[in-house]
Amino acid sequence: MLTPQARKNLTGDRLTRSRIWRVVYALGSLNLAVLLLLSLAGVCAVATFLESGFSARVARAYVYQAPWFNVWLLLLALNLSCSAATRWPWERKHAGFVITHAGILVLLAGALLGKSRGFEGSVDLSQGSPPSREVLLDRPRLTVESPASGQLFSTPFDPEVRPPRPDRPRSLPLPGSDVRLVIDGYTRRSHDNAVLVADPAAGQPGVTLELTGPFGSGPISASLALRDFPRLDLGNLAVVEFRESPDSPKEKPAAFRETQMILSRDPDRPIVHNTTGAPSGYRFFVGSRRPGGPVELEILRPDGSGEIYSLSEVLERPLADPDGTRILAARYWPNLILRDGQPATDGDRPLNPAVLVMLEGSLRETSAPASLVLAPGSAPGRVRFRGQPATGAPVTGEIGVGESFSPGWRGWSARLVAWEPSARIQTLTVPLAEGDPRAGRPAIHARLRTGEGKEGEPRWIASGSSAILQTGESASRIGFGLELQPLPFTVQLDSFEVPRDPGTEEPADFIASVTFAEEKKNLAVPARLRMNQPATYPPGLWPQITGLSYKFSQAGWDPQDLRRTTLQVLYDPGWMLKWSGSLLVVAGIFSMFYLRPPRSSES
Amino acid sequence: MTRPLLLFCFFAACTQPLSGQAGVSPAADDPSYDTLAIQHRGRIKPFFAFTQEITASLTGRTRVTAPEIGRLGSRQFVLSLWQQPEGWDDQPVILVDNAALRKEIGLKGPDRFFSFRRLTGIPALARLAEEADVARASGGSASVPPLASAAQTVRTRLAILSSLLSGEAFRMVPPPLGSRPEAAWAPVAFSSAESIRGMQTQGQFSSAKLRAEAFYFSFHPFRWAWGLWLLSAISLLTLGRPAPDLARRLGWSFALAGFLLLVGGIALRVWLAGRPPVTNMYESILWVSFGTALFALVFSLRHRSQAYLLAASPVVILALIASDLQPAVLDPAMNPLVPVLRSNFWLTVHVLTVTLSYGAFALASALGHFLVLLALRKNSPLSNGDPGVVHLYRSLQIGILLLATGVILGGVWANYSWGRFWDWDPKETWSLVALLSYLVLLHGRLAGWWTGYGLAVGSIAGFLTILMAWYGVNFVLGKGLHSYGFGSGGQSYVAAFALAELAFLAFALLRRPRAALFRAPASTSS
Repeated sequence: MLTPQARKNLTGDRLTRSRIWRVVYALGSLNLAVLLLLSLAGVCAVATFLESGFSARVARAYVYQAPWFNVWLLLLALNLSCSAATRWPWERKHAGFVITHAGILVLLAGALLGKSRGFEGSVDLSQGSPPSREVLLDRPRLTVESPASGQLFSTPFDPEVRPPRPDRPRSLPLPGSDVRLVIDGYTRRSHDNAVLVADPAAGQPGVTLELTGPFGSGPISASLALRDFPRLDLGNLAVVEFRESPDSPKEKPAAFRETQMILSRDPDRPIVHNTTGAPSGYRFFVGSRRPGGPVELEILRPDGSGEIYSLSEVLERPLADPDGTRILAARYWPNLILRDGQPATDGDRPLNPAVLVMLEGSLRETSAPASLVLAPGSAPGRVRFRGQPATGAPVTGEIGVGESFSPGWRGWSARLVAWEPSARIQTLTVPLAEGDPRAGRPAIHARLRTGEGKEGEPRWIASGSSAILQTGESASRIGFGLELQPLPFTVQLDSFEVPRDPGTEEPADFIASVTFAEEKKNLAVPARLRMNQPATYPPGLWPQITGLSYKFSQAGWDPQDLRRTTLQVLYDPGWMLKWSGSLLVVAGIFSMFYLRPPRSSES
Repeated sequence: MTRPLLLFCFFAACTQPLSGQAGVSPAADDPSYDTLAIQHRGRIKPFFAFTQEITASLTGRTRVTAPEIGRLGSRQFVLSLWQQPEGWDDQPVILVDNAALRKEIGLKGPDRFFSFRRLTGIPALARLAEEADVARASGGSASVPPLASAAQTVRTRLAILSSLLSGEAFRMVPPPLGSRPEAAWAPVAFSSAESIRGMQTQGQFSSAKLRAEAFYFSFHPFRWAWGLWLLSAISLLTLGRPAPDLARRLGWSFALAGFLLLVGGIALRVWLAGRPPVTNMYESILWVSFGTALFALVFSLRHRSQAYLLAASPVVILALIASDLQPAVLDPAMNPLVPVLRSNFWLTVHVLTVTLSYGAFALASALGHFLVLLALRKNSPLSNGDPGVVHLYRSLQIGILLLATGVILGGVWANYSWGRFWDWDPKETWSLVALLSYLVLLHGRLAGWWTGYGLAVGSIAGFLTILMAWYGVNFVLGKGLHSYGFGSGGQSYVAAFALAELAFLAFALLRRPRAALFRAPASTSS
């Protein structure tokens, strides 16, 4: 063990004799460490505001994954190693210090390995769809086709970082030609808009409507063709249809089964369980009209009609209503009590009569969201309509081109913009207006430009799609979307469950059963994953320890479609280094603070 | 889901008798209802907890003031409403606390409470709330304008009152045994407590837990705890000079008793809710108070100094009072968690550790205030060996160890349960910023940039980064993966606190004793 004086001499010796040691001492200096820590803290703090103001991808591009940030971290690693080197030869009192600093180095090494060799992406799975063999990474790319050879080229392209604008376009050359791709617009939300195009060969009428909502945003345009494109779903707002006749079609009523527990003490609140979730509307009452009289069951139909039966006549005897609904008074308790949680009767005297009624049948009327049905009118250019609000009475009428009318939805107005006797619908990607309630995909606005400066027609290309752009003789298919990472196996969704919290629609968990398969090896491995309990493939200890396995965890779901789920996929060969580094850091700090041999000289 | 509810509100408003002056009358404040089971917000809870929760969400407090009958406690209020809903739609019991919103929808005057009928008659309110729906659907919660968000809150209050007026909320009849566990309970009309108890004889809930929960909500263990810490601080301050021995004993006993109540309350809560105690802002405040109190007691026992207790008491008292005063912002209800937070070992350890470190840093910050004032009085830069500085250093040490461990455990949790180890998520990043700040504080002292005074000032500044990581990320930045903790409210209090601290820091730096910064290095061989 060196005395403080001997250590001081050793340091002095190194500084005078060796240039390398001088560099090491400079790089490992405490002043540099404080400066590095302080600047890192400041930069990270600024980056969080960048993320809050713009997006996570912007913060990543400008700070966390920017080259200079990595240089900064490298400098920190250098500082840590050098400061540890200046303590050489290490003694017991250095243990905590060395372990902590080594831990941070191991952690950073793991991060580097994970970043260069691993990936994180997501995969959308649907029940009944073919197995997936690719993962979407959160890295947008452009794929372009060479106009000369038809070969495909791909390059990373993130429009969210420095979004292209008309005054700030971005242009890239198409390989093997003098044509350039010019991108001069970006929107976060676009959708495929159906546009009415006159086409004598189509043989079907088409209309274009403009719907204006109460929120002051721009109108929504809706184009429909009688045969090919008769229906447009405006999110959860309403449905617009174009049909031969505006009257409600005869929809096949849905079947239901229902049980009702009828309590004489609480006639207004039967306990209803219905398979469709919506009650049938049938009401029942049990009791006697005069004291001491026979117990009776009253049936009240949704349309207001009804009868009273003596319970003994109808008990356990099915009744059939004219519309096909079957009613069965299945059980009767003269004096209802709950015994061990089960309904039971305390004696035969009808003190607290209760009846269990079972119903089976079809619903008369399905409740639909607001709708607007259009139909060809009395003359060409005129249209009949029937607007149905979510609740309340419908409005009907006939209008001509250019006329406005009310679709009956609260606060909305509509206008017939165009009528074509023979037309087809062409879909085009367009940006969504601010305040438009519909969901949309990001899109870029692009065109081709030849060497002579001749420009082709611009188009919006939505994420996950491609379009053919043209200028003069040159044409190229341009694709825009997230990068795909192939998997060495396939994954398929067998089932997906969302248990709920009691009495609510709040999800309590997400449980997916999947099958991993490798055709070459003729392997199919079923697995189950739920929130916070991921599944890994290949299974087994060794692939997991080395980080050479893929981890699938629950990431997203669609409340409207319970046969679909989104899983996050992680492949991280550096995880073991990260975990061991973490352990070292914590152990190091602990021993530095609490296991140090008592100091002798310092205050 | 909200639109049908709103429509229902209008419907309910239309079906009420038009006369409206049907006076309301108070029902008997009958505690025999307290332990009846009720299904509410995805949980079976005692009726008393239900009344407290529902009253807090309507009025922002756990009581109601109705002009005709005066002040009612939560139980009497809900019972009155249940027994005779007529007339309650005309009572001003719904809080509209956002002044800008009141102005926007034309509610003039200083009143903050309005009746159901009055509010449902304002189309602008419904329109604003729908605007929030659209904004949320198209751009996430961050893009909802504050006014629209406030309108949504009021709409939720209207829906709650509507469910009370219609009787829909009183889901107290369990489904027949053998139904699925998530089956909805049936609502019941107002009846005597015994007859409802008769309907609840079957299982699926524990009546011992119901009794315990009703007790928990009526006993207010945390109110008692801060009262005792106040007594402790008073005894230490007033008796310190004349009778130091008595002061020490009294101060210690009161603090210990307060701490035991705090622990007991938290333990009861954990048992009742069946989950770790740090899943929302309210619980994390309790846990930070627990941490501060724990470290203060351990240190003061181990190092025989009452300074820790004295420094911890303002933290514990203020934090517990804050948690008690604002039930609408800091929700004491034990609602079910989102799935990602459920039954997860690494998550529990991670959050408990991080939040415990906040407690240690709060203690350090409080000690920092005392030391700055002491140094200014003595006009001394405080050497590193000063007992106060040693106390402060110990608090910082435990805080740093816990924060580093907690941040790393967060990575371990994320890596284990759903993805990458580190994602530069704002919460992660701010925890790292806080950790780095405290590391700067310790390393700067080693490098001789400052001494004890700098350490004291730095521990106050450091706690502001903690505040940002703890509160700011959720309530100010409002983005990122830790979004289940997002909420609103209390901004003005926190901003006032942060501004006061910044002013104190500026004062401390301007008036710093000579040679408080850039002294000779204490030691470079760490």
